[in-house]
Amino acid sequence: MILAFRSYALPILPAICSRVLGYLPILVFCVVAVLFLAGTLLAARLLRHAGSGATDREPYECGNEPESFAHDHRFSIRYYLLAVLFVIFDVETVFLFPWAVMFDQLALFGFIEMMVFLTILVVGYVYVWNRGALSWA
Amino acid sequence: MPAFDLREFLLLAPEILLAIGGLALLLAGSVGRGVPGRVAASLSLFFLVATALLVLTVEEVGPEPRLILGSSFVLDGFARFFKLVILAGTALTVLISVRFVDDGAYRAGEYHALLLLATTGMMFMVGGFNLVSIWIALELMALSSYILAGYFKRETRSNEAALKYFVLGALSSAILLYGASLLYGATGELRLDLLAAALPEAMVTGRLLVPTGWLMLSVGLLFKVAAVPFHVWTPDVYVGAPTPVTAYLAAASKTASFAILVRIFVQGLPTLLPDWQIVIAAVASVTMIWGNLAALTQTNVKRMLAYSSIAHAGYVLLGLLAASVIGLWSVAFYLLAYTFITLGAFAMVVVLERREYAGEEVSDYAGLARRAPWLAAAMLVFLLALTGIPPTGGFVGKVYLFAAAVEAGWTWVAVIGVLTSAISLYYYFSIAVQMYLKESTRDTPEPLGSPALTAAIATCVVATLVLGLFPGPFIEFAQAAGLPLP
Repeated sequence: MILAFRSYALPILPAICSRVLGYLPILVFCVVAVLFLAGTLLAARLLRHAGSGATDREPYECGNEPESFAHDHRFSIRYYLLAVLFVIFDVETVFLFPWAVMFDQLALFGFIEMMVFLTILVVGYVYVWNRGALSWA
Repeated sequence: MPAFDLREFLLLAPEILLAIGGLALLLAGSVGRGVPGRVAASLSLFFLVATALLVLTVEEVGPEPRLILGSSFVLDGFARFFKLVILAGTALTVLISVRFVDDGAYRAGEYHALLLLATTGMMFMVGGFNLVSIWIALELMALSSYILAGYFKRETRSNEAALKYFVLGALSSAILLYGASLLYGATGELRLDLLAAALPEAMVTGRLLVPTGWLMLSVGLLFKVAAVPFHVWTPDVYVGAPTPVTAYLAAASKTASFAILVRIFVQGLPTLLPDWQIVIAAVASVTMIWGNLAALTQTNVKRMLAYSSIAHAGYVLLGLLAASVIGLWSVAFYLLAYTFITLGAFAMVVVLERREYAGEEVSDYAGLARRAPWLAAAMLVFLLALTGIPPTGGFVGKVYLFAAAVEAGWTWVAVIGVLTSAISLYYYFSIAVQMYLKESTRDTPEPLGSPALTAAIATCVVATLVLGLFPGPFIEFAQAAGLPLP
C-alpha cells in the first residue's frame, strides 16, 4: 500500500497541496471564529457576578410580568399582507442592483425590460392600494 | 450578452396584448366597486379574440421554426396550433363564467384578469423552447390557477381545493425544475435542440445525472397533465374549484401541459426515446385503467368528470407513446376535440348547479330530457363524445390515437384503451339514463341557462359534431402542428 502511495499519490501530491492551500484562509477564519467565541464566553464567565436564581429565568426581568401567552392572541392579517409586499419589493431591488451596475452593457434592451418589469410591479402595487390593503384602519 | 433584435418583440404581440389585457382588467377591477361581471367578461372576450387574430396574422409561420429572443421562444406550427386551441378554450370558459361570477358576489375583474394571465402563461408555455422559459411560463399559469381554484374565498371547499392544488402543484413544479437543473448539469444546455444534441455524450459522462434528471422532469410534467400515479390532487381540486375554473383546468390547462410534455420529450429528449416510451406506456395503461375504474363509483358529476379527465390523459399519452407523425397530430387533434367536449360537459354542470354546490349529483339530471330537451340532447352529444362513439370528435380522435399506438407496435396499450373505453360507457351513460329514463322529483334543480351559457354549449355541440362528421380540414390543421421527429 505504501508502494502504491509512493507510485501514484506522491507525484500528484504537490498539485493537491497547492489546491488545498488555496482554502487556507477559510481554515484560519474558522479557527479565529471558534477562538473568538470561546474567548468571549470565557471572559463573560470570569467577569459576571453569580446569578440570583428565580428572577433570572423570567422573560422580562426588568419589565412587566407577562399576563398571558403570545399564542393566545390572533394578530391582524395585515401583517401578513405587508410581509408579502415587503418580499416583493425586496426581490425587486435584487433585480434592480445588477441592472444598475450593468446599465451600460444592457443598453436599450435592458432598459425596456426593466421598465416592463417595474410597470408590472407598479400595477400590482396600485391594485393592492386600491383594494385597501395598505390602510390600517 | 446576446444581441437582441428589438423587432422580435413584435412577434410576441399576441402574448403582450393578452398580458396587457389581464393587467388592465386587474387595475380596472380594483377601483371602487370594480367592474360589473358582464363588462369584465366582454373585455375578456375582446382581448382573447384580438389575441387569436394576432396569432393568425403576426405569427405567420414558415416551413422552418423561427427562434426568437435568444431562442427562448419558438414560432412554429405546433405553438400556433396550441395557442389557438387554448384561446378557444379560454373564450368558452369566459362564456361559461358569466352567470357564475355574477352569482358569487366576488369581484369579476380579478377573475377575468387571472384567467387572461393564466392564458398568457399557457401561450408562452407552448411557444417555449428553453427549459427555463417553459418553466417560468408554467408557473405563471400555475400561480394564477391556484388563485382561481380558491376564487370563492368564503367557501370551505374552494379554499381546500386551492390549498391542495397549491401545495401539490408547487411540489411538482419543484421536482420539474430540479430535473431540468440536473439535465442542465449533465449537458450544460437549456435549449431543447442543443440539449438533445448534447445528450448522447452526457449519458456517458454524466452517468446518473441524465436518468435522474429526465425521470424527475417526467414526474413533474405527468403531474401537470394529471396522469396516474400523479393524479391524487385532481378529484379534490376539480370538485372544490368553481365549476368554470374546473372546466378551464380540465381543458386549457391540460392542453398546455400536454403541449410542453410532447415538445420536451420529442424535441429535448429524442435520444432517450426507447426509455421514455416504456415509462409512458406504463403510465398510460395505469392512467386509463384507474381513471375509468375510479369514475365508475362516483355519484358526483364533477368528481366523475375529474376521473374522466384523468382517463382521457391516458388516451392522449398513447399518441406520444407512438412517437410517430400520426401519433403527434392525433394528440393535437384529440386535444382540440377534447377542449370542446369537456368544456361543453362542464357547461352543463354549470346549468344545473346552484350556490352551495347543489345540483352536482348524477340524480339531479333525472328527467332533464322532458324539462329541457335541447339541453339533454347537448349533454348526450358530450357523453357520446367522451365515450368515443360516432358521430363525434371524440370518436375520430380516439380512433387515430389507438391506430397510432397499434401502428407503432404498442398494441397491448391500445387494447387497454379500447377495453377501458367500454368501461367508461357505463358511468357516462348513468347520466344519460337519468336524463331520459328517470322522472324528476320535486327536489330536482331546474336548469338555469343564460344567453352566454347557451352560446357556449351550442358552440361546443356544433364543434363536437363537426369534428366528428367532417374531420378532414381539422386533421390537416392538426398535421400542421407536427414536430420534427428523431
